[in-house]
Amino acid sequence: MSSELTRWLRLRWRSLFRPRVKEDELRREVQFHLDQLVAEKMADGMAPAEAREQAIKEFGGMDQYIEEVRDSWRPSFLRDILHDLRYSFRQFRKAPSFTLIVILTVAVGIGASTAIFSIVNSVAFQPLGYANPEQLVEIRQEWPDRRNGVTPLRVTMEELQERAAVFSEVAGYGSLHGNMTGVGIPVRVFGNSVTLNYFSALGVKPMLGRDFLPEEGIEGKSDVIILNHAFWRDHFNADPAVINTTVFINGRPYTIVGVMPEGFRTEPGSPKAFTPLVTNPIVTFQRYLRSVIARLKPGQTVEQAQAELDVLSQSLQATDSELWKDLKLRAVPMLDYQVGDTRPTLFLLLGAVGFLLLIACVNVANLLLARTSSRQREIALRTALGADRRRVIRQLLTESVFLASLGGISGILLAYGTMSVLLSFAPVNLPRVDEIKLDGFALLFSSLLTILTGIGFGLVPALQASKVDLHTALKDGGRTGGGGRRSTRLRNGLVITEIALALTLLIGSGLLLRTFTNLMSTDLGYNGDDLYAERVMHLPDKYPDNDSRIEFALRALDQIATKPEILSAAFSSGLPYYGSRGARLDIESRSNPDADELPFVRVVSVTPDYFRTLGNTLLRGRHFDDHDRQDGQPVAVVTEEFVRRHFPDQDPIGQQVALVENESREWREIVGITNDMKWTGIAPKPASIVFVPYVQYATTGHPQAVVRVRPGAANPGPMVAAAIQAVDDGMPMTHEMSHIKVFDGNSIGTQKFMLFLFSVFSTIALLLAALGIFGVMSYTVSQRTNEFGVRIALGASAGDVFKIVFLHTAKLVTVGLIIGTLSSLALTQLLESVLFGVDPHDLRTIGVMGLGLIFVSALSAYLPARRACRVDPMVALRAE
Amino acid sequence: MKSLRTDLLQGTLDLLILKTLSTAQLHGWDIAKRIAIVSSDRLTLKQGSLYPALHRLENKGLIEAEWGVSEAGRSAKFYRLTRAGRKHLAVERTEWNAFAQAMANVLEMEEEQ
Amino acid sequence: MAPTKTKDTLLGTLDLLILRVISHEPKHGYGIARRIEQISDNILNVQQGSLYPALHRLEKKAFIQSKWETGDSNKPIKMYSLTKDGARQLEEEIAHWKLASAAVNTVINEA
Repeated sequence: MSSELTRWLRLRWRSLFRPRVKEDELRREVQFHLDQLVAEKMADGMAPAEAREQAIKEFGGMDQYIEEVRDSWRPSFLRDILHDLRYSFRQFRKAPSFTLIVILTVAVGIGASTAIFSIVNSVAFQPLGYANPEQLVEIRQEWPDRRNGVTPLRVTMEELQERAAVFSEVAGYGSLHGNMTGVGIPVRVFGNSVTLNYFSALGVKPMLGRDFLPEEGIEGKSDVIILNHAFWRDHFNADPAVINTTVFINGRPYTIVGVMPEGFRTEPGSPKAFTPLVTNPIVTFQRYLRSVIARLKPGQTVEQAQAELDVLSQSLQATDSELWKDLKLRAVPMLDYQVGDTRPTLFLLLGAVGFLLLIACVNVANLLLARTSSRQREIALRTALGADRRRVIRQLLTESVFLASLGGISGILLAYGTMSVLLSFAPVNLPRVDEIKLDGFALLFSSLLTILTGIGFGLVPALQASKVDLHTALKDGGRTGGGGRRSTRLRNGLVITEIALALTLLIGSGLLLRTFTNLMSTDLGYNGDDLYAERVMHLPDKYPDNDSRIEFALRALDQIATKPEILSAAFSSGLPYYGSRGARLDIESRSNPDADELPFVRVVSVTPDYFRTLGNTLLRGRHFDDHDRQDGQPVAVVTEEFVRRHFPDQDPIGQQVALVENESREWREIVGITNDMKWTGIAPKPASIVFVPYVQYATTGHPQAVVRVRPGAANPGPMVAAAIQAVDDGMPMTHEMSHIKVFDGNSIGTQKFMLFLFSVFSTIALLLAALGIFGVMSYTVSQRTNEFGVRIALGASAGDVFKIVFLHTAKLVTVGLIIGTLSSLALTQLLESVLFGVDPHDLRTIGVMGLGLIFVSALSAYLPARRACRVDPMVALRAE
Repeated sequence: MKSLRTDLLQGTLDLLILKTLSTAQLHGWDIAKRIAIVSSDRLTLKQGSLYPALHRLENKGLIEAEWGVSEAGRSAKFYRLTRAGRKHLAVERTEWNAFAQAMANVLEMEEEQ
Repeated sequence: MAPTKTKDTLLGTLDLLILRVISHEPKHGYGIARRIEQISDNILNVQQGSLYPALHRLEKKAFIQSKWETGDSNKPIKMYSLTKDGARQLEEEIAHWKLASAAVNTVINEA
């Protein structure tokens, strides 16, 4: 056995790498033979020249035989493959449209699915870069009725540390923002103030310097700061020498003690810097934790954590049922938290991609099947002419794999191309969008799938065809459906599948389209075009008291208003999607002294041009104007929703209300009703808001500037900064403002992106389905040309033939539509969470999409059918 | 005299070679001589066609070759049967006999009816 | 694709077989193939792909001639019959076969 193997290897080796030696040997061998022949002839008495001539004649063409031998040297496998490839190539050139369609189908299938899969995979499934990220949970506090209230989570964090045994570590962070100076241009810093164990809980160490020390949680020792990598790179030139240097935040000195490694992130829009959270924090730091995270002890599950949290919230409620009323603590895996609400969306996309890939595969299968069956004559002929059956099969396989690979390569290119295009449509707030890259696994997966499809559906007909003997093939090939009944049934099945898949995808996209139009037609209550906003400055350093802040803000606003590109501008404490403060509301006519029983409302302080800038509509009374002074009559403007909630049967104008933040109640008169605005999103109900004049309400240190620019004008950030610094050149500024639409990303941006992707998918699906139907129908027609010819010769009219073809299509389409409708009824249920204003089983959508598909199917059956009824009986019969 | 087709001989060439090599280790010339009886004047199989056949059989592992010295003292390539070749010879031979018998049946058939 | 040398190629005896089978009565292509298979107990397996080219070739050489006849199901069938030249050719083919097969037998049956 092994000696045979070595001999084989030696032969191959020699033939591959030592052709000259072999050739030489062959020549010697043949020469020897010839010499013998000549010698024999001469022994018989022939003259040398004649002997030689005779010998060569008897031997035959020497070169021809040498060439023949040389052929046999090339390893036959390679030679066959090369031969098959050449043959395949010729076949493709003979049927360019078939080839192109298959390659396109495969390319689209692989390209689209890889691109999408990459996005989904990067966003939803990639690990976080923390140590054992599966052990990390975010603890959320759900408090349905008090959502407007600021929640002292710190209390529960301490509780958690003491009482929840499932956690090895509980950490949290609050907000840090302020102006950083001492680094060249003053910059606004948004960061986190974190508990001392925060980094160790995440299992991440600073790349430079050190983590916070235990004593740095104490007031007076906490003036240390750790920079995030990107911030260090952008503002400190990635200089390692920054460690132990000092920066100022809001005028207060901090020593830089560390730099986090690249890619460290905690939430979308990673923080720029971290300071230790102290037990008694200074005023400019938000006093409360924004987020609590915990690490599960090894072996503990999220479910166990949840169970403990349930016990904890119950015991808290037992201590003070009023304070902890309706509290619900939830443990959410960190990954869920970070990816958040986009996950269902991404899964939907993944589903859509799956459908597309399936449709593509079905299409490829169908095309290959049809093509191979139509080549049964050719195959049978080749078998008959002595071709080995295995070789015929290999040839067909080579063809389908070659095709699939061509498609695959185009698909990869397409994926590269589409990724950036798709991402350019992505909403800005798509989590971890900067980490998205083409996914190798996805590429491998979809390539394998398509190539397997190629092999599978190239092989079945190949096996079938190679068995058919020529006689049957010749007899059947011309007259009947061709390829036998089994493959016809298979093809019909595939067409049905394709239609069903396409319909399901279409209905899904239809529902999303309805959702989108519903969203778009929803009146936001303000005009988001050309509207920019930002907390551009931080006042408290230079303007410690309320009066000086207000004075500065108004002067700055006047300056801003002088800029020609700016149509109107305002300062406020709240904007749509930015959130706003809450306060309890008391109404004079039915005043309640117990503040705890008062309902919450949103309170937004605004300069007079706020309403004009946002494009609000005044419904009754008046908006604010310059007469509403700090020392004047306190006034308020309320929204329609406010009126519906609090004055359902009364005229609110002239009513006195108070916003209770402390014990004091200052009564203010409602002077106007403005239109409702979608405040937190599109789907939620409009917010109940009390607007108060900026000058009359204790302001925050960093007001929101909101600016309407001339349509199409550039980001007004630099202009606003210049205007403000014209009033005070030492004011640290944020030089970029955000388009307000960025902030509605969650509701409209994501939907738009989804809709865009879904419409891309369904268009492709529709095209593929049409292609599939067209392919199969025209194939069937060409196979039945003979039959149609006979029918026409026997007196059938063109219409009759047309009907045959059309009815055949209609049957397939009907079955496909029924299956598709049923499957979409089951599957669209999954869409429910992302739909808005439309039922997942919306009959109109199903109907419209079904009709659309019928139309497309009819169209793609029309051409073949027409060709069928134009069959010339003479030509058809001669086709034998 | 029309030249007769060579395909019959070509088709049985493998068989002839294998059979010839089953008794001795021979070089091409010897093989040609031994089966010379079939390459009479009327059977126009060229001697050269032996070589592609030899190399094909070698590639299939049915025969193997080594260089040696001929009776005339020249170096020549000698072929011999491998074990696989021996097995194959038996198969080919059986097939040939069946084929020849079938041919005889056809040639001697009495037409029914 | 290089044809493999198997008995399926009929070793160049296809012409002989065709001529022989229609020497008694005209037959259509399918009938010829079936007859050969039948008499040889399926050992001689006529590949359809070579039958029709062979018929065509033989007809061109005027060894056989064809005629359309009406078959059982009223379908026109092409029937082949031997010509005089064909009868002569058949003799020759038989002689050649006998000579060649005898030669082969001599080689392979020698001890």
